[in-house]
Amino acid sequence: MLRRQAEAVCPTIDTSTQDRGAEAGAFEPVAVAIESLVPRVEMVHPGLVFVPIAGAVRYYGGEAALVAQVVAAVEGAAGPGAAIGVAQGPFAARQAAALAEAGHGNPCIVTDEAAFLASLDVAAIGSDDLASTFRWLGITTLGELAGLPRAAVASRFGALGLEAHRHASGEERDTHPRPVPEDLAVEEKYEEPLVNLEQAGFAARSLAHQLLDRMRTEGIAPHRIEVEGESLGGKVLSRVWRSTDPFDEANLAERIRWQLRAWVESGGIPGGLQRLRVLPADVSGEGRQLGLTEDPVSEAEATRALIRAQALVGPDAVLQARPQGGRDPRERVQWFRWGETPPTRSRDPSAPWPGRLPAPSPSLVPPEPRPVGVEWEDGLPARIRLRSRWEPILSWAGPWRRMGRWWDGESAADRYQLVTSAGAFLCEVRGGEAFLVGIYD
Amino acid sequence: MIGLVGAPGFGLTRLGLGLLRGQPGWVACVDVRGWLSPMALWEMGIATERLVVVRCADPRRWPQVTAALVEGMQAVYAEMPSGVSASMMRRLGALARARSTSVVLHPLEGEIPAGITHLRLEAQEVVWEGTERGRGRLRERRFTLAASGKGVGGIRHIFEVEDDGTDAVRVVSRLAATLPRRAVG
Repeated sequence: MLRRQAEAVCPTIDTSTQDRGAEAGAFEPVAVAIESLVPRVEMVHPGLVFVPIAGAVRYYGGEAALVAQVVAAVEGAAGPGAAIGVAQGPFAARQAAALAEAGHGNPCIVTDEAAFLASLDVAAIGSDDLASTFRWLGITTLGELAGLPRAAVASRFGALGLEAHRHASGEERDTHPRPVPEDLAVEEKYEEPLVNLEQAGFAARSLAHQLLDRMRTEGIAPHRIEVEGESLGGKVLSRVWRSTDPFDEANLAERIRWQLRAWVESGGIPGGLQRLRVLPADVSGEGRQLGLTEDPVSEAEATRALIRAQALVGPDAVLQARPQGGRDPRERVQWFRWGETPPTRSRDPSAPWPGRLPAPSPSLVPPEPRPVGVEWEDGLPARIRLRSRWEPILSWAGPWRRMGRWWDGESAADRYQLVTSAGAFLCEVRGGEAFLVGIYD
Repeated sequence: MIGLVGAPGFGLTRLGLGLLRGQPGWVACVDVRGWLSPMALWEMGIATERLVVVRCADPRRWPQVTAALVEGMQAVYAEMPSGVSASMMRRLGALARARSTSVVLHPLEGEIPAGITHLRLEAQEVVWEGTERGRGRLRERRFTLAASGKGVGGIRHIFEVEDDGTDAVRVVSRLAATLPRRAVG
């Protein structure tokens, strides 16, 4: 729900902005506490951390013993309330942690991962749309989903379905790992050590941009990145961040900024930051697949150009469109901001839409129908007023009748294609008045 | 850089975008009035996900926006508001040449200053087929264009172009190689 909607529903509501940077700072002691027991923890977002425990289990003498240690360490750092799940892979571990959270914080150690996953509700796959479709098909648990043939799921639900099927079968995302090419790490050294967060923000942005630029030319994208910082005194800190989808520039810069803020606020970088290094820890083989005629450099340039245009005219003026159902040329286009996911279509373009105008469509459509002068002779259009003169109508087609929403008091309208020696125009006649709704330019 | 001159209705919008249709990558359109309808462009074969429309009605900001797009894109169709200075247009022309971007300029009023476009196409006449007195529907049009500029060797040519609404526009015939010169007596 948007804040405005929430405030409309409940005017006395108190709203507060979420500050992920501050959360990262507050969560840092927890990560440090866990790291003192098990090295190389991976942050997903402040509040969720993955801990690889294969080695540590042997060292501490069993999963239960290790979990007890971790619980004690986290309690020491942040108080009680940690939810801990232990399983073979990150997906199952995440689900186990969710279960532990629901079960008042008792750690959930999964011994039989297949049985555990099979018992989970299908909503665990993370996509509401997909989960509701599965439910509608009678598939309510991950076990039932895993029982379906993978090829069938992939052909019906695409990449998202395939990913869900992999998770449900207990396979991990990186089943097809790909070697990390050498020299992908990006590094910046600062002669004047960075001490404030604003500088850190700029540094994060520039490093994220450099790293992704380099990876883009290789056609790969990172799922995990390692942020390494060196303080003035030579103390090196590092932390791994993980994401289910490959990082994009904004996401990556945000993660780096959170991490820097967390280090700065927890006093981990005495004297300021003199070196910052970001390297991909795990790259996805899928990456971002380019089209046959696309080349990565021009793609990046185009994105930059559009970002610049957005900065100049505002995000509401840089638009993409897609077809949707409707009877008028204006209705049949759904606009959305460039860079955002298109909203769900409320009108199906493949439905019949009686009264729809045939192709070709007018290439200029005013945002609102404009009044236009049309002279009629014996009920037939004879002349149209263009700019300051009357053009005789040479031929015309129509009318295509459109029944208005009579329940809203909208009257019916007739659409005509009027042809003059200066081009063809689409006009709508509503209540005796003529309006220009399109120009076949 | 190609310039299109003529009143709305003569088919220049479709012609201009038709010229950019074969370009790889994105097609960016600068829409001054907010009138451009992608429906017609999709029918021409410009892919939905490769089309982006930038609306900019302010003539002072228009050169910056267009320059940003010319710099990054490979194909730009720009409607041109009145009130853009000739020097600004020359800089834009130089940028398009330097980046070898295909740019189609369509002034909403008036002319493009001389020496900027490689080819200037001026609409002369348009004839629609398919409609009668209340019957049929618009099917195809033929329009006549006068081409001038460096792109045609500095000689004014007149073309007839056919546009059937779904496919690319194509040149049908070259009606006359040159216009008769004015007699000097």
